[in-house]
Order: sequence, then C-alpha cells, then structure tokens
Amino acid sequence: MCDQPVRNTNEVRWQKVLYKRQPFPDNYVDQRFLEELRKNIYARKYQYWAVVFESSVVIQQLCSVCVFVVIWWYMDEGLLAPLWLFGTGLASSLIGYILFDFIDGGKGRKKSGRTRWADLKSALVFITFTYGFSPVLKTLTESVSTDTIYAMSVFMLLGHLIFFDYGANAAIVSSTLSLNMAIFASVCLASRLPRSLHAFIMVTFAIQIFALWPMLQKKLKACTPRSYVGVTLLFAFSALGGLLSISGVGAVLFALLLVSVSFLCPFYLIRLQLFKENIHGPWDEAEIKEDLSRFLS
Amino acid sequence: MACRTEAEPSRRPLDALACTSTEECPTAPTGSHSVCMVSDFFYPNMGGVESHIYQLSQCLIERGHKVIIITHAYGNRKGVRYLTNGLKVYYLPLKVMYNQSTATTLFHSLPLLRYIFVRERISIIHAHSSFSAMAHDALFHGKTMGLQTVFTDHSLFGFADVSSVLTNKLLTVSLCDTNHIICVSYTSKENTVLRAALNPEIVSVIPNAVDPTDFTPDPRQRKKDMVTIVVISRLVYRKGTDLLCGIIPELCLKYPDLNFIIGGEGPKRIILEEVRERYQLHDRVRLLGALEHKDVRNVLVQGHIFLNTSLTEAFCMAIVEAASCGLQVVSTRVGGIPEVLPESLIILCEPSVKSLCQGLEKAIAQLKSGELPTPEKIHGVVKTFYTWRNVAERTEKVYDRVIGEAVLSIDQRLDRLMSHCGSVTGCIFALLAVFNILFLIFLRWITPDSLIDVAVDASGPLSSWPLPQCSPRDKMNPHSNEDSET
Amino acid sequence: MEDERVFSDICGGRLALQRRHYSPSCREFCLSCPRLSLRSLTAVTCSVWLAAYALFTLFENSVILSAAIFITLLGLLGYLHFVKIDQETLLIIDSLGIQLTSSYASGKESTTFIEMGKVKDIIINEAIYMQKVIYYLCILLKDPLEPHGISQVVPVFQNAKPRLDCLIEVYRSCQEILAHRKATSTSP
Repeated sequence: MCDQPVRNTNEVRWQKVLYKRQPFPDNYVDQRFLEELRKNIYARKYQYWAVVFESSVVIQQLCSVCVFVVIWWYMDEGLLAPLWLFGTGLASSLIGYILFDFIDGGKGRKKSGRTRWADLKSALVFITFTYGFSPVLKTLTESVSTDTIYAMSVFMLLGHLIFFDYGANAAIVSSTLSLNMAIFASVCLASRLPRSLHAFIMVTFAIQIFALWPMLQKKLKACTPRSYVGVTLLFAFSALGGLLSISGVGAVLFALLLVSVSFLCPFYLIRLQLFKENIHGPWDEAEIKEDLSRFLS
Repeated sequence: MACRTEAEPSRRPLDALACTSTEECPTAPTGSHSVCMVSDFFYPNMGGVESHIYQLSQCLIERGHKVIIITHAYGNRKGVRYLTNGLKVYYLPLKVMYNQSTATTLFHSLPLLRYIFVRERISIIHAHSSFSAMAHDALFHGKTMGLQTVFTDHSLFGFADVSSVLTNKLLTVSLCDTNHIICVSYTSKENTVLRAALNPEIVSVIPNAVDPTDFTPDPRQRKKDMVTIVVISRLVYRKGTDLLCGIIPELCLKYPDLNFIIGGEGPKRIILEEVRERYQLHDRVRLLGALEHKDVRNVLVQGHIFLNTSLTEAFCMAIVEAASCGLQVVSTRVGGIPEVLPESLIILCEPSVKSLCQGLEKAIAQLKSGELPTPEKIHGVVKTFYTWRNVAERTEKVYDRVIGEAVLSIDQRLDRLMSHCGSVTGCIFALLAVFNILFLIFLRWITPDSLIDVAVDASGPLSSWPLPQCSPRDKMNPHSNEDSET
Repeated sequence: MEDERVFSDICGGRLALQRRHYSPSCREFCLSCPRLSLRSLTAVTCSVWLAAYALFTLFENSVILSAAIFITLLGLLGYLHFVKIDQETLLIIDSLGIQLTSSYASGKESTTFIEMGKVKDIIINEAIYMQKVIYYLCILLKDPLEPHGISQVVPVFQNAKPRLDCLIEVYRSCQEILAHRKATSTSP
C-alpha cells in the first residue's frame, strides 16, 4: 500500500476498503474516520412521576419487612395474642384471595387452569405440616445463641430485599432465593418466640406477607394502578405507625429511607441520564431481532 | 535431522563469527529488527491469530529479520522449539486460566520474559490479541525494560455491558504507552481507538492475508445438477448459527435442488441437528463437524455459494478463503466485512433470516442464469488482494517507524499512565508500574545482564540456521520437550 | 597434556574446567565447583542456632536445643553426602564410550557409563530452568529399534550448569572425537 509513491492525494479519494492498494500510509486518518459513530441510540427517556410510581414496588417490600419485624416484636413481648394474629391473617388472606380473582375477572385463573379445590388443598397441606412441625421449629435453633439468630435474620432479610424480583431484568434477581431467605429469617425469628403455637403462626404470617402479598400486589399494579398507589400509601403509613409505637427514632429513619427511595432516587436517576454516553457503531454485535423459535417448534 | 539442527546453532560461534556462506548475510544488519511476537495463542492451538503470527513471522524472516515467538506451554509441548526456517518458539510453563489464556498478575512472568528479551537481544515486542493476558504482560514488561512495543488487535468489542467496560479500561492501560497499534480493518481501528482512547495516528490498518496457493478453485468437485451452499464457522451464537437455523428450512422448502454443507463444531450444533430432524433434511444438510485447516479447501470447492452469518467480525478470513476458491459469497453486513471484498464478489445482507434468504436467492438466481463469473476468474481477482508478503512489508514499515521513536523515561511513563487512564485506574497502575520497575532492578541485581548468555540466532542477519531450501521440512522439532523443567 | 581454565556458571559462580588429553581418542573434562566455604557453613550454623535459642527463650524447652544439634549435624552430613557435588567429570574414549562421574563432597562417587555404540551425538540444547533459559550439553542415545530415532537424552554437568562458552569448549572437543571415530570406523 505505501510502497507506491504518494500521488496527489487530493485527487484520489480515500475509500474504506481493504482490498485496494491505496496511495495513503497505513496510519492515514480520513475525515470520514468514526463517521458511523452513534451515541445513545437506545437510551430511554424517563418521566419523573412514572419512575416514582415504579419505585413503589421497593417501598412495598421495605414495608413488608418492617411490618413483619414489628409484628414479631409484639409477639415476642407478649403484647399480641397469637390467635388474634392468626384470625386477622386468615381473614385478610381470604379477602386477598377473593380480590385476586375479582380484579381481573377470573382471567388469570382460567389461564392457569387451577381449581379452587386445588388451592384449598395446598393451603390445608401447608397449614397442617407447619402446625405439625412447629415444635421442631421451636427447638431447631436452641443450641444457637440469640445474637447469632438476630444477625442471621438481619442478613437474610437484607438478602431478601436484594434478590427480590422488582421487575428489573438483571442477573442478580432470583425470586426463589429471595423468598427462601425471607422464610429462613422467619423460621429463625419464630424459634425465639415463647411457644410452638407462636412459631407456627409467625411462619404462616411470613408466608402470607412474603409469598402471597407480592402476588396480589403485582396483579393490583397491573390492573388498577390507582388503587395500588392507595394501597402502597396505606401500607407504608401502617408500617410507619407500627414502628413508631416501638421506637420514634426508628420511625423517623424509616420514613427518611422511604422518602429518599421514592422521591430522591428517581430524581437522581433522571439527572444522571444527562451524562449518559453510550457508543454504538458498526463494531457492535448484531442483534437477531426475529423470533427464530418458530423453526424449532 | 533433529539432532543436526539442534547442534547447528552451537557450531556457529566456533566458525569464528565469520559468515561462511554469502547467503547467510543477505541484509545489512542496520535495517533489520529483532522482533519478539508474544501471544497466548499459537500452534498447536488453531485459529486466525495463530496462523497470522506464524505466517507473518515466516515472511519477516524471509525479509531478513530475526523473529522469535513466546507463548505458553501446550500440554507436553514446553521449552524451546524450532519451526521452519529457524523460527524459534518459547513455550513457557505458565498456568492457563481460561480459554487458553494465561492468568496475569503483571509480575510473575517478568523474570522469564526479561531473561528471554535479554538473551535474544530483542528490540521490538509485538504482542497479539487483546484476549491474551501474556500479550498485555509483555507490553507492560517491555515498557519497564525500555523496549519498543507494537500491538495487533484481532477482535472487536462492544461498549454496552459491564464486562466490556472493564476490558476496555484494561486495554486503555495496556496500550497507553504502546508505540504503535495494528488493526486488521478500518472498523477495527475505529473500535480500538475508541476503546483504548488512542491517537488514531499511531494506529495502522494492515489486513490479514490468506495463502492463495492453498485456496485454489476446482469446479469439477461441484455437483452439476445441484446448488450447494457451504458454511464453515464455529457453531456458536456470535457466528450467527441461529440465523442459519432459520435459513435452512426456508430455502430448502423453496428450492428442491439445494444442498447445505456445514463445517465446524460448537455448542449450537444441537439446534442445527434439531432443524434437520424436524424438516427431514438428512440427505440435503451435511454436518461435517470440526475441520482441520488443510481440509477446509476440499470442502469449499464442493460448493457454489459460501454463506457467512457472523454477528460480529473484525476481518473475516473465511470469506476471503471462500472467494479465493471461486465461490460466490453471501454475508451479513457487520463489523469489517464490507471492507474485505469488492461488491462484485460479495452479496451483503442485514443480519436477519429474511435478508439473508433474499441475498441467497439472488445468488442462486445469478448462478442458474450463468451470470456469475467463473471460479478461476474470481480466484484470479482475489489472489492479488491479500498476501502475507504484503502484510510483512507493511508491518516492517511499522517497525521502522517504531524503532526510531524515543522510549519514555520512567517519570514520563508514570505521568502518561496517570493522565491518560483516569485518576483512580491511572494511579493504581502507575503504582504497579513502579513495583514492576523495582522488581526489574531486583532481578538485575540477582542476575545481571552480563551473566545471561546471548542466544545463538536462528533467524535474522546473524542467523546460523541452514538456508531455507535445505532446511528440514518437518515443522516441529520433536526433541526439545525432554529438556524443560521449571 | 593437561590444562585448566576458569569459567563461570549461570549464577555467576566460579567453575574450573580441567581438560586432560590422554590421546587423540581419549579425553577427560573435569568441572569443579568451589569447595564448601567456611563462611557459608558458619553462617548457616549460626542462623540455625540463633533460631533455636530464640525458640528456647520463648518456650523454655531444652528439647529444642538438642533438636538443633541433630538438625545441624544430620543436615550437614546429608548435604555433603547427597547434595553437594564437588566435581563432575566427562571421560570420552573413542572406542569404548562415555563415562560420567560426579563426586560428592563426602567422597561418594556416582558413575554412569554409556557405550559408544549407543551414542548418537553430543549436542548443546536449550531449556527453561527455574526462571531462566539455559544452555546445556547433552548426549543423545540411539533408539535400538529405530536407527534414526532417539531413545533418551542424557544431560551432562547437570549440577555445575556452566555457561555457553564453557559448553562450547567441551562440545568442540567431543565432536572432534566423534568425528575421529566416524572417520576410523568408515575407513577400515
């Protein structure tokens, strides 16, 4: 390429091809260098209130953990009768169950093809087994010191919050792991309650708040966003109220956390979007846009 | 004979350093360089980088330069080996971590690399492939020792995900004080300049090459009444095997006289087999499995059309090889592919089943109407495009340019690291560079350069290797593996 | 005829090469390392004893001191008998073969003899040794089954590890003898 004498370069236009021996040195930089560079072509524009609305999922989960811990504290102190909690839990579960079908007019149920009888069966099986094993749960961690139990529960609840499926498409998300961590935390905490009935009711409550409640939430959010906002606010305030009755400082800190998650973080996200610089060009790996599964199924 | 060639280098100093044969000193030593190619990827591993290093080294030796290659040990192949024409290869016993790439601590390879650079009197270090940890190590140590460095990038990288952000940062550090960078296509140059934040003036574009004598057409191998489409690639996602799975049934239903020959192996082979099973195409789609490089030509000449479905490619050797065998090439328009062949020889399509099918149909129509040029004609055009001699010539120009450049002093190097690579990374690597320099000083104190025996050259102007014509034809010397201990 | 030259090994240590030419067909090369110096012996013994005393003051157990005595004595004996090689000799006799002898500091000698019929060639080869790439002299043995093959490579002067200039000296003499042998065997 460069062993040819350099001719009048103004006449010969540089071409972006390799097969021609062009009268330019190998390290020649043309004006057309990087002309195919594109920036931020796939960047999303965020609306502030939409992001705030989406953040309510995080709020809900934070509140769930808070409510759970508050209820446990009340039980541990003996201020809350276990049977009362069981009754309330059962009632709210029933209401939730009816709502779950009512919101989308039974479409989800038809799709999954699950009968009510099957639901009742699995609920019964679960309750019987938990009840039967509650003495075991009670004595399971007797040899472990209480401090360890508390530390473990804190880690597990944090893990639950980290791995929970908030709707993001990331590798870290794992709803099974998150649910397992929450149940593990509840078992740990339940084993420190005075009697095995307490333990049984605590674990049942954990299932209700960590497994069933998010399912209902998801449906509420998809079908009636307005009522979902209302429910979130109500839930947040009741969590705050519960925490306030235990510790004023804790309640203030928790309120600050909720406000920063729901209002400050979205604001910060939108500000940071201005600095986004995503580079695209011909070197990017091409994406297959078609659905190729039709050839295989 | 193995023992004879082994004994040859040591006989040379006995001849009182006088050139016994005139041919042994063809070039003036002033114009010739001592080049050390460093890469984790070399024979017996097979691939584009490996053959690039080998062919380039051979052509540089032919031009009178001294070339040695450093790579890591492959199984039992450790120690020092000689290939054709006195190409000396050091297989260093370093641990392989992932994908044939060694682990890097930036320090552990310094003693051996320094010893080799000193004993071979290396002036230019030429590292290959951004996936090779050893190449980056060599660049780092080369700068510590004040040698000139050149780097060849063979691949493209995106900017979107976390892993590419990290690797791009490392590349920025690694190339920040490299004298010159070679890319295989203009797209690759743009990519590398952006990834490593380089001045485009120090990046040259030198394409890969193919040996046109290895890829000659043979139209008699084609089936007369059939149209055969050949695909040769690893069967992985990046090579677009998923697209191929869509194309095969689509076209096979449309053209009853269409055949596919697919060469290559990979995790996506299973879905090709599923497609073949589902559409009952066992007699029309042949899966050959992994091919040896020498068999590629024999497969290519059986086809009329070559299909490349890659999703990303810096410089596609496969399409040049196919065109050299006289096939009509249909390919996706990604990466550097549009630069490789003129429009008359290639049909470029978007990376989708629909577009590729259209391209293939166009090629089939041209083939049936006899519009396509004959294979010999295509071969005649393609063989002038890319030759290793040309690559070597152009690489030599890079060396000539680099050898005249001043080596950065220690403080300049640290300044450059800190100013060029961002404050945090820059400072970390500047600190590592200081440690590296201290380590080098320590090594020089333990074994001074004067204690290192200067190696007997096997290539280059002072070579004691027999002339190329009478050199042993066997490529690998089988008798140096017993002597490697660590 | 006998002469002695001084070379260095790959670490810079001093090596003496004695060459004895008994006849055109018989030569002997003897590489001797410096003897165990009093200084290094004292240094090692002192450091072992200092360490032992430090441990003794810590644990106040006199077993440590007696162990130190045994370790020094046994270590020295083992080192002199199994590790420290004072002299390596290569005796090459045209019609007979090659004899490799290494003498340990204790006086122990180990000898290997290679019949001339088995010897294919003597060459200088390169190897990666620790963090170095070194040259070494080695004897190639013929494969009894295959006339052109090589069954084994026997390295010479493994302990001394002389540098290239010394190896060339020995190599050249050996080649002379091998050439002499070839000449005499082909012309009866």
